[in-house]
Amino acid sequence: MSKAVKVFTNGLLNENPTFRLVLGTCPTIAITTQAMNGIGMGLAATFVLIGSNIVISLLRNFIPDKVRIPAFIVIICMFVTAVQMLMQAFVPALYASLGIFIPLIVVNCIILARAEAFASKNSVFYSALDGLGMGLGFTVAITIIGAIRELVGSGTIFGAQLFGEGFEPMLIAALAPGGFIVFGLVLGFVNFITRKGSEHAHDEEEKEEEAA
Amino acid sequence: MRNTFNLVWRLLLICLIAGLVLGLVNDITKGPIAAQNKLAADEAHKKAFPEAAEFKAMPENAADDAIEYYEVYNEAGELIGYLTSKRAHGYGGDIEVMVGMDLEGKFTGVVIGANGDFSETAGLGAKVKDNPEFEAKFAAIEYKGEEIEYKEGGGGYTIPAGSLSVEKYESESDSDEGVDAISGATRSSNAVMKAFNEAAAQLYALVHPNEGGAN
Repeated sequence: MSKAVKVFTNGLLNENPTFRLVLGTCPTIAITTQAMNGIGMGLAATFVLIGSNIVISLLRNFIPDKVRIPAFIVIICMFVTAVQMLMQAFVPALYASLGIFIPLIVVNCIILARAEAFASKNSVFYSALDGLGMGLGFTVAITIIGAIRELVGSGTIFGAQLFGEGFEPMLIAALAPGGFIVFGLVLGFVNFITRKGSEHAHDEEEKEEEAA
Repeated sequence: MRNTFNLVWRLLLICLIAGLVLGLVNDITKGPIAAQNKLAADEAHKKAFPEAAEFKAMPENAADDAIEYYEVYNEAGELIGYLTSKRAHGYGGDIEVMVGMDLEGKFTGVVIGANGDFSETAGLGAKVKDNPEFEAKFAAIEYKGEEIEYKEGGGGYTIPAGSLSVEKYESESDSDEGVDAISGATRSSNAVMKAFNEAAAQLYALVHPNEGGAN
């Protein structure tokens, strides 16, 4: 069971698609104006990730290496378009709240990257887990960024007013340049706290080696 | 050559199956999607005409730049007014203004910016949208076909029917009456006023078909 856990947590921490792989930055900056957008986009992308990883893993021996990129793209686009149409037809409320994010998923590099790096080389079970982990890691990351930008840029969090009437929001945080800046700052912060952890672990290893 | 053929037929098969799957999904979802769209459109229209029960499109009256005209019926099936939408270019894109008018020439409601491609700047031009106070000021206007009375008393301005130019309205006092442009959102406000004027004139012509005035 340990490999399964490893594959799953990889997407959450070690290879978080937003903060480690730095993938899907275009939709990230575009939609993280509100925390709720992060959740909506993240969950939709997770669903597509799992699905496309499964299909591509199933076909990994059928798709020749030389044409794998166009093949992946066709499969991913088919999946996203089908999901979009089915949602629009049968769950209109969900589609209305998530709607715009679904076509945006097609341009999200994370899907293609995981198809290329993992699903085309691993079994269906682990590919599905990888999709789940990456998708959830993405969701958590963009929700955090969205929450910060919403708080600073509009004074609300998940739509609820946090500060009083007199609060003047920093409007730029809700616009694209602010998105860049917030993304960079959070990325730097994540690197800072994880480096401390890995430096600490590195020092411990050295001490053990010296003591031995 | 044989290697190329191998690549081609595999890719072709994948694309064929993808196309087939999407065609199938399209068949399944075409009907429900059309039904959902009509439902959503009716709900949006109801915001500009709350008493309506049914909207019937009037294709024969559509002018070049109009999106649509609708006859509005109540639950008893009687004609109670007309509804139209007009677009004008604001700052980031088009702004759609939906206006309803009853048979007496009174506005039943105004909905601003409900179009899917609304893209005015958040916090500035976007303030014209989801702004019931702003919308209510338009709806309160008494449109007589000859003049739009924006304000009672001094400081107002009127637009004769047929002349659809819009000027930015500089308010001399902070009176509640009349329609002031939203500060910081001049181009968005002007677009709204322009679209509104066009819609009002066209609706007035529909309600009063015998008066030749408004264009």
